[in-house]
Amino acid sequence: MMPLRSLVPKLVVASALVYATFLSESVAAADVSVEASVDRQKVPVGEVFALTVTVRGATNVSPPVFPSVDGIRLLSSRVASRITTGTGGFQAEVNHIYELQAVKVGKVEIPPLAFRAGRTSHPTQRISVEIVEAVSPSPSATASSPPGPPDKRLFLRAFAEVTDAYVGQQVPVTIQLCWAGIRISSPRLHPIQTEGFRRVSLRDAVQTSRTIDGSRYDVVEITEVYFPLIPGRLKIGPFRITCDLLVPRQSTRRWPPSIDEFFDSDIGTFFGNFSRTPIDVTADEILLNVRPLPEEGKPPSFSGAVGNFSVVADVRPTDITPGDGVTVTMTVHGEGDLETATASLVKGSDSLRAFPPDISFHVLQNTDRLHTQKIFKQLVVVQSADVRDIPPVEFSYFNPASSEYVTVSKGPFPVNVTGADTSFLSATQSPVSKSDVSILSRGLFGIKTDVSAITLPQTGFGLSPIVLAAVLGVPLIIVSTSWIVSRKVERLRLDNAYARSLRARKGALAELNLGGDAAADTCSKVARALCGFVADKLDLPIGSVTTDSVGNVLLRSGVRGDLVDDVLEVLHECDRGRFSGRSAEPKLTGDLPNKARALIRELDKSIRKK
Amino acid sequence: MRALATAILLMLLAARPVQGRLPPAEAITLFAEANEAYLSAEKLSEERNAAAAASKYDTARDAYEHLAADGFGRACVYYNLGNTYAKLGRWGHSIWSYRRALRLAPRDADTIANLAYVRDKSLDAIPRRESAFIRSLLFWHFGLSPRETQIVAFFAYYLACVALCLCFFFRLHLLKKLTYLLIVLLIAFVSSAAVKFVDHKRPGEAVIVAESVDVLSGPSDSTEARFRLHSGAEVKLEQTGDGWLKIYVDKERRGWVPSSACRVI
Repeated sequence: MMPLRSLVPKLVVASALVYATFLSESVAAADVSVEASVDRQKVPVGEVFALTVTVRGATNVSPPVFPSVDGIRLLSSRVASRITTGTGGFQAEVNHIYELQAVKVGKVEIPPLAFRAGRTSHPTQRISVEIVEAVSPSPSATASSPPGPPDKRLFLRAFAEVTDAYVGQQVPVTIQLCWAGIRISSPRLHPIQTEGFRRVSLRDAVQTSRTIDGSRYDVVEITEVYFPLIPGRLKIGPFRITCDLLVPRQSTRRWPPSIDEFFDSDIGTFFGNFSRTPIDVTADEILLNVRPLPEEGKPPSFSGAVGNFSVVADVRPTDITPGDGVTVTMTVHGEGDLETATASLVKGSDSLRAFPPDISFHVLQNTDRLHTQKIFKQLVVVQSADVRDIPPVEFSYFNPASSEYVTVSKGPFPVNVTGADTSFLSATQSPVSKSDVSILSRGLFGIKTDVSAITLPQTGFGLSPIVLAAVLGVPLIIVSTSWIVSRKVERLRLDNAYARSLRARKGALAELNLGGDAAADTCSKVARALCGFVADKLDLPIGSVTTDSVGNVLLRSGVRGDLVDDVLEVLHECDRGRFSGRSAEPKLTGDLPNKARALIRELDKSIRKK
Repeated sequence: MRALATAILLMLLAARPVQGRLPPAEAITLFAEANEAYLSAEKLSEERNAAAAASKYDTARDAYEHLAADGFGRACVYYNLGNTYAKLGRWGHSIWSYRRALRLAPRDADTIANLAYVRDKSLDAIPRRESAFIRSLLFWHFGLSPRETQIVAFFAYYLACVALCLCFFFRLHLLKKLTYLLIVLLIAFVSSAAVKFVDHKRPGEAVIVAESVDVLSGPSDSTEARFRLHSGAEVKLEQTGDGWLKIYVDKERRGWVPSSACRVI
């Protein structure tokens, strides 16, 4: 259980936060204004007019659903935002543009549209529009009867706002794909030849409806901005769009369709019952006469900005002590490209330490022109109490409308510096700009006096060739021996016959060395040792070598006859010793193991030679 | 096995015992005396006693040359000799000494700096043919002295032998890879040692030590002079003749000079 004493402060903090949130919202809502206007009050039937609702002071505004109004039809809507400057600083402005088509003669009243900013609703005023009879053929007639020959039903046109421009000036180009009385889909713009230009697409293609040469057309409109990079006679284009012409198909299909029919056509055309025919539409290139920027009157601070710009600058804070930094903020915005533009900012001095500026660049999406903004933020450290103001900053640009350079200067900015002069502190504490260490004079480094270096061998270990050969030879001998041993171990592991043959003599002699038994046992041991030896040596099963068969086995393996006879004699002696009374003769039985040992050695040599 | 045999052969060829006509103790004494003479010459030079300083420098130079000729041509001896020649204003001899020192101690910063200093003094602008890429690629060859190369090769040989022995009995994949790596290392260092040995035995470069010398079209004073080189010019050797050396600067500039006019590095 949480004690009440600890709960109270938390509740107070939470309440304060909730109150602050509501207060801020209400303050924000109080600054929001909404204003609606139409581009003309009197509109002929069939023509398109624009209703613009401008919302100032808020950017996250929810637009309402456009109401159904008798006499007009909503074709499209779009949103454009921009930042404007005024006496109070920056202000956000959002334009909601509705393209409306007049469809019926009479006076039409557009009801208030309620825009919501946070929890507050901001309605527009009522707007009245008078729709009059059209002088040209009515849109319904146009729609029912296609305008003129087939090439007039689908065409592409492209036009630039200007035909003469300066290098760096923005040239808005509109590309319109127009069609009437036919159906098309999936228009695709091919790459445009733009050599000598930088190209910026302003927004996605917009579909609308326009009256062209008295006929009503559906139009897909693409707006782009081109910046000439070099002077001369340059061209943009030609332009080419590929789209699918939708032709109604004679319905011969049965329902339900067969599997083949279903998969032979794509889903859209199957259900829409249209066939698609790709068609190319082209428009001629746009020729542009590009002039270089004049050299006359070019200010030193000009860095290539061409257009029409506004500049705002300020310094914060203004009450400081020596050693404090102030931030000089300069904002440049307007029509034109500021991406590469720079401004002339505060330069460092004994009393001011100026740091490189932090620069941010934004493209403000709106209307049919490129609006950009660049913000320069520079930290300036005041190092002396004598400083009274921060020097002015300036920005220069070329205005193509007036064909002249404009330099906008802001400042100086007064600051109030109080307290002791600490320039000596900042001089020791602030980072010093580094430079290469320059060589003042060149000379020789001194001699080396370490006498022990003399006794070190010049090469290797200083060994004589014989010793070195020995030192190098030992590892080689070890490697060779290791190799031989490893081979033998491997063979013993894998070759059973080899292993038995190798161990035969050792095993047989071990068997004979077992002493202390009776004479009959001695005879058995001798016979077993001899037969076992022969079996192991020749890799034969133990049971297949007996007293009767051993002679033939040895003769087959190439052992000489007299040795075989000796073996047989010893084995017969063993048999006699085991199964007759003579086994009791200790002299005989004591001699048999020695004879067997000698025979085993002889046999070992004889069989190994084979 | 073939690589091992080659390695052993090359190591045997490269191995040289400490030798010299001077006993080591005497060599140390001579080196110390030479250093003393050099330092006292510097002091005399500071006192603006040029004649006495030059005499002391000559004493030091003779001692260093004696050491180098008697089998004590260590990097420090050549370095000090280079300094002495530089103080005497004999840039060719100085460059030759520093080049010798660098061969034995290729990473010595003092030698590199002093060599750059004396090269600036030479009159002929001869482009260096040292490729930075090759130097980086074969860093172990250019960065290690012959002695260091031999020591590394020796240890690589021992380690490779141990790894081989273990490989015979333990069939471990990692061990096998390690053995291959050591054998590659061994081949690299043995090759480097062999190249250095061949370079030492068959020098390919020389420095002009005469104040100036006419490079002739043939090994005879009666032949035509093709161009002139000055003290400190570093050239390649193409051929050696009886008292004559055929040198090469570039495709256009090659010819014969008396062998007394240059010192072979």
